[in-house]
Amino acid sequence: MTNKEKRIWKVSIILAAVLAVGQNASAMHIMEGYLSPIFCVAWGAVCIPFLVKGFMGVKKVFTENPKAITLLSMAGAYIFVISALKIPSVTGSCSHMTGTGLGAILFGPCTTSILGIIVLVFQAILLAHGGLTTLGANTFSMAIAGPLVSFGIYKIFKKCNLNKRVGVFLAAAAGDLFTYCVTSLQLAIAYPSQNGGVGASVLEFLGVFAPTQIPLSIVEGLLTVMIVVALENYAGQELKAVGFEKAD
Amino acid sequence: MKIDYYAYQSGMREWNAAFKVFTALATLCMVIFLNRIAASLFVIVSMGVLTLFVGEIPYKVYFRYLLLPLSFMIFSCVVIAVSVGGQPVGEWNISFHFFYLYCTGESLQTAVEVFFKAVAGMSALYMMSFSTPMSEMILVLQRAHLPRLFTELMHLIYRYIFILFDAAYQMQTAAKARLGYCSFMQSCRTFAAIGGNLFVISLKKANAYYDALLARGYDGRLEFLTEKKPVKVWQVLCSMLYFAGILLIALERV
Repeated sequence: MTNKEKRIWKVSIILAAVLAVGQNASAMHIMEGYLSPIFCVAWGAVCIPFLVKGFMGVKKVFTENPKAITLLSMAGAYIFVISALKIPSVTGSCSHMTGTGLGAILFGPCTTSILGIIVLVFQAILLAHGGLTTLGANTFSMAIAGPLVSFGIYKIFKKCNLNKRVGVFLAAAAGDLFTYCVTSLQLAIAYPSQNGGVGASVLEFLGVFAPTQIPLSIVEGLLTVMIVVALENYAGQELKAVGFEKAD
Repeated sequence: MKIDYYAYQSGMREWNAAFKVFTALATLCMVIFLNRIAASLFVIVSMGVLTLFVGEIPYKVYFRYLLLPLSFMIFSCVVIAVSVGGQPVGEWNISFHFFYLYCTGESLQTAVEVFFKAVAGMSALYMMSFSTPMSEMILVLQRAHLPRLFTELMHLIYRYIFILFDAAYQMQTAAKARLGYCSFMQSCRTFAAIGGNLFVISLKKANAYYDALLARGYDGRLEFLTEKKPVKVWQVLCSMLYFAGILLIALERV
């Protein structure tokens, strides 16, 4: 091999390594054992009020209508399966939706927080995404913060009578982006940069995960719109049953 | 979902579920509290041996799962080790004219510690999840006095996941047979159609399953028959020795 060939060979190996590693991108679950004990407990504690509120909401639904138990379970299973299905991608990589944006739009943020934490436990144990000690941090970013933003944006668009599809797209995409920002913040607080502190560290984490997370959130937004359109076409009755009304 | 399949076949299936959950969680807590590379390495090896040889999980499967969060791990450990700054500081730095990438001995050590801590945590988690079926784990949670409604939701969600996966798989096969994934746009459309359809199916099934529950006398409580799997004395002794071992290794060079 000539020098030039060698260099091309090396560059191609590096490219392959970087791209192949970056490809297996699911939503950003913080992995098991990554956070130190203080942060595991602290993020868990932050989640508690939201979860209590969500649990009371679910309990109220359940006492009013016992039939809701199978409905809620199916909703939880639906979020899990949607987040486990491979989404289409150009490069043949393997990425997944979070599904919580869709959940928040369909079932509301309270229900989504309870279903979300159950789904996260299952993801940790059955799919090895995330972990038990990082459950608090992951719950906050994926089952609470993201869905709240999604739901807020969706509601604003509905109140102002703006285009509903744009609203759904923005809700899902922004929920995903917010999850990614919160996760970066969580990582940065746990491991601040030595000279720049937390601020510099946040930017570094945001930068490193941006190439996978930003396209992913756009794709998630598009897919959520398409699913909602499909639902409006085929499942008007069922949508009314879960409290989601048709646009026109 | 393969983990669940292996959990049912595991050689540690007959062990008490609460004991396994407790051991895994205690090990996990010790690893992240102690935060020492030696202890983490000990846990990685011992939990790996336990899962592979006592649990008889195929080693290919086990290592594939260990490598699963690799991309997250590499990215985030690199961020911990390497920082961006205006001045050339630290033991190693690269100049990019406008800014410097630098790396100090301390940050490098943190990154390595975090790396091993995370892998150790995962191997402890896998010891539990590769040996305990989900239904037994939910019963442990129920025994720990989690709200009944919560564990019941978990039970039902766990069951419905398989039903929905089955439906999704059938729809994907049908779509594949009709060239539903021939281009990127088409696969997006197919994905959305499957997502929408899955929702309709899940709601329809939810109604049918509620009727089925009622027909079997459901009155707001799901009851399951459970096998008694008592904890054996040697298991408790071994786990005590094991925890002591981790502590000894961690405190050795202080």
